[in-house]
Amino acid sequence: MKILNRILLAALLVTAFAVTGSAQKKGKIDVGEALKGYFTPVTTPSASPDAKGFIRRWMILEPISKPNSTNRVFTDTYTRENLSVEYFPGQFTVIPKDGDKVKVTMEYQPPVNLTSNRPAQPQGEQPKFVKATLTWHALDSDHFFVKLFRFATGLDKDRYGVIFWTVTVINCEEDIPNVRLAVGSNKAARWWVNGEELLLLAGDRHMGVDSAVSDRITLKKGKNVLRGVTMNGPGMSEFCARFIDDHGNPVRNYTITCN
Amino acid sequence: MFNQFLYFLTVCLLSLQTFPAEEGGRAQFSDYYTPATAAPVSPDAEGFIRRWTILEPIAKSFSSNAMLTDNFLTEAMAETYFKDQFTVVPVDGSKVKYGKTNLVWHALDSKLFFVNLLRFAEGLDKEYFQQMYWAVTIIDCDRDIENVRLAGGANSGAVWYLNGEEVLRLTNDRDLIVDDCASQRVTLKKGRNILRGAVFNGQGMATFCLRFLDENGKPVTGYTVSSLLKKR
Amino acid sequence: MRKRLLATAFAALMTVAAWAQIGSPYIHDPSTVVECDGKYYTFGTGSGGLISEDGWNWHGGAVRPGGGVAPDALKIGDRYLVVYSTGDVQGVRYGSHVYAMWNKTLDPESPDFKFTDPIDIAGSNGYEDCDGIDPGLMMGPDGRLWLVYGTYFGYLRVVELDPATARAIGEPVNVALSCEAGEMIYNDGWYYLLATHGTCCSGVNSTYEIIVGRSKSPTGPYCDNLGRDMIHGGGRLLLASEPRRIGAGHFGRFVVGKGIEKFSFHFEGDLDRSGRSVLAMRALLWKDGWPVAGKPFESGEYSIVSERRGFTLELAVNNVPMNTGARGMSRNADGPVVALDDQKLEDVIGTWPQGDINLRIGPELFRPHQAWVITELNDVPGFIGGAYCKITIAGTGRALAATASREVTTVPEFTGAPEQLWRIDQLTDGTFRIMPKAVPGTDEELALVAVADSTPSLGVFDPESDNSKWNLYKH
Repeated sequence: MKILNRILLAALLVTAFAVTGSAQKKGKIDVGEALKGYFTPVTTPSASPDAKGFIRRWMILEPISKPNSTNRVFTDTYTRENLSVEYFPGQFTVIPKDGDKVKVTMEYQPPVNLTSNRPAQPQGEQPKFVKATLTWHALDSDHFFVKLFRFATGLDKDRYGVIFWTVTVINCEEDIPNVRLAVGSNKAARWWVNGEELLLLAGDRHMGVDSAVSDRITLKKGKNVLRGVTMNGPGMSEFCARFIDDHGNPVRNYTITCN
Repeated sequence: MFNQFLYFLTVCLLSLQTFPAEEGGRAQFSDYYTPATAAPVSPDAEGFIRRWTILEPIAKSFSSNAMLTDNFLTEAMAETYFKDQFTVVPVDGSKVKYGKTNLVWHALDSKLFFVNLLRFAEGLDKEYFQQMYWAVTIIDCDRDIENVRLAGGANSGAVWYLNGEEVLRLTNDRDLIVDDCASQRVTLKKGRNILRGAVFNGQGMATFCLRFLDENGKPVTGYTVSSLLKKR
Repeated sequence: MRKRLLATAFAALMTVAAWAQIGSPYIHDPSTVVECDGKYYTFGTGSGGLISEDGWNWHGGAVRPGGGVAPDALKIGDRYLVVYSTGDVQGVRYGSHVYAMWNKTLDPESPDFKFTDPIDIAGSNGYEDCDGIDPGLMMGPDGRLWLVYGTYFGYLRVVELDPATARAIGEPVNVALSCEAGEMIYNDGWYYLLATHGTCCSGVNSTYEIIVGRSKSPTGPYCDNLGRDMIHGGGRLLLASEPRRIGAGHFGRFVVGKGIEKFSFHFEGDLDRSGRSVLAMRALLWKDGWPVAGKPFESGEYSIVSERRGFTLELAVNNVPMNTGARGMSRNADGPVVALDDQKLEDVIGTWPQGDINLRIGPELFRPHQAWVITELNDVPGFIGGAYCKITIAGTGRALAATASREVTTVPEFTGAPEQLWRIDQLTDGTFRIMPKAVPGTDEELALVAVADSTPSLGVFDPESDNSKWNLYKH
């Protein structure tokens, strides 16, 4: 038994080392290099919206697998239901820090088949669920939009049939009333400010600046948490978001921070 | 009765508004016409035929221009009003007998692009409502001019004949509109062509304008217009 | 009122759903329709394409080697340039090539029919934000040839091609985000980029829609009517769907002549044809500098209204007064208010002559002599983008006809003679040209014109003149 126990322990250690080694190896990915051309890791304490008011600083969670071979499934109901499922604890409240990890339960999908016409996915089977540890990344987008697809490919993660969780913090020196959250989204998404859902974006949609806007809200003095969750089947995935005033002009008198 | 008076008043007011010559008093015949001269004239710059020999009006009983239907005009033109009415090329000052009345032909040049028949009748101290006005003119061409259309407007009904053939009819209650109606394509033949017609008016203003248009809708001007005058 | 109801019901019966095209116009991702030696051609995804002898009735038979997807075609000089694309970069998605090939003819029966070997003119490596398929060609007003390509995966790109070889010259420029099926056209000082958004390839569940932006330069920026750059997702809708036909995409412009333009495209799903993808053509209108999709023509009861003065085409018959009692100035205050019937055909038809009846144009009174039923005829050959029509007085067989004296009349009964078949094309300003298939005794192409405010005739169509233009309003 002793010997057996030792063998088992040795095996566990080897396995643990292998897993840790693997993780360490992955952890060695130079995020800045991997996402070059699209994102730059956050290095400054705060950022401003860009000249047109687009919010470029985001905490982005590595994609959660949710296989879909078509974007046609993104009805209002599907989008709401599948972006309400708990993938990880505190998903609608967390204000993550760069490098934070979350354990998620998600649908299994085989490695992407880059030569097929559709993303690889289990065919005709009941979904299998797996657990995974995903990492938050604090990033500044190099563009007015956030190219989620390139976030996934750059980090060598699933790129199709995935859910992207994004969070940022809007800091206001005073209340800013009568603003609208304006989002362009490729593809389906839900958006919240301070826990209140403002936008449900269904359908096989493409990103257009201000293609959907919320009702008027007030960005309150202090911290406001802006959270968006974007779901993609095949194809490109990205979003752009800003606040606009009653005249459609960008709102820029706030700062953006990530922990 | 009162309504009829109102209608008459309206017509008068409209006439006043349309014809400034009447401001300050009765319109003068000379504001509208000069006597035709012996020398042929051209159509005006826009192709309108201004020289006409016009017969003093013949009374016709119709109360409304809305009665000027095809049938009315067909029947009206089937009547004989005076001898040779479809063939005569009248000489200025010559007379025709209509019933017991002698009516005189007047060779005139209109000062306007259109012919104001009401002012013609009024100027000659004749009745001008519920009348039929005959008009004739002579068109001389030095070559055949093919594929032209006789185009005109009238207030109100009218029937026009070129060289004896009906080419243009304006029915119903119409206003004077340039190129309101057009004939089918006709040929103005080399030599003499006779353009003849009758205009009917119930109430209100009485006018007509005529010109020839080419295939592109442009005025035809390459001909002369004459009236026959008494030898002096 | 009853007559109006009856007329409406009659019109509804007469109104058939307007077709896209007839025959077997089944195609996906059609290339711009191109005319070659009197026939019309379009190529689609896969291989081959459609041919039509008249531009209305389509059948298979066009030949295009190379396979791949979403070709386009353009006549340059005396040759035809055909471009297509394949996702043939091994091992990666979105790695694609655009190929070009030339032919002296598109007629596969011609001895001159021979495509050159395809040459690689553009593409994507699979790692960039572009998927190099869906090519669209445009010859600019200055003789410069342009290619636009790309899909939802990143950007549409524009690159200049050598019009002699079709090889790319210069570097591609990103011009639009998340579009596909791009096509550029030039009009009146502006370059226009037509492209699609929405879901493709899902039959009647597709949401394909054609959008447009414009630019002063072929390389953009292409902005929509709000000034939004298409590279920011901007775009103004040209056409999404029509009743029974869903998901418009793959725009291609077809200029019939000055003042008459059409565009070819496909509907992803035609509910009248098992949800298949079908070729369609519609009038292309221009309004305030923007292309606008013409509505499909529908058979029905119309007023035919001259653009010249606004008068309506009518039989030259006696005006038959409606007997509604004395009405007029100061006579309107007596008795209860009731709705009166419209004048009925049977009230007047007895007063009409039996034989041919000529025509006038007069103010609209909504009387029987002004009510025309226009009926598309699909049992005779059509014309590019449409079916010939018979035009009859509502409730009768009396039909509009061209005469040997180059005039118009009506004959007591429609016989199907070519002078009684009318081609109706919507013009770029939204009005219509109405043209007999034939005029007896002449080969001249003549159209219905107003030669005077009140007089219709036949004359040479002049796109600059309101004399040549007509409006069709539901009667």
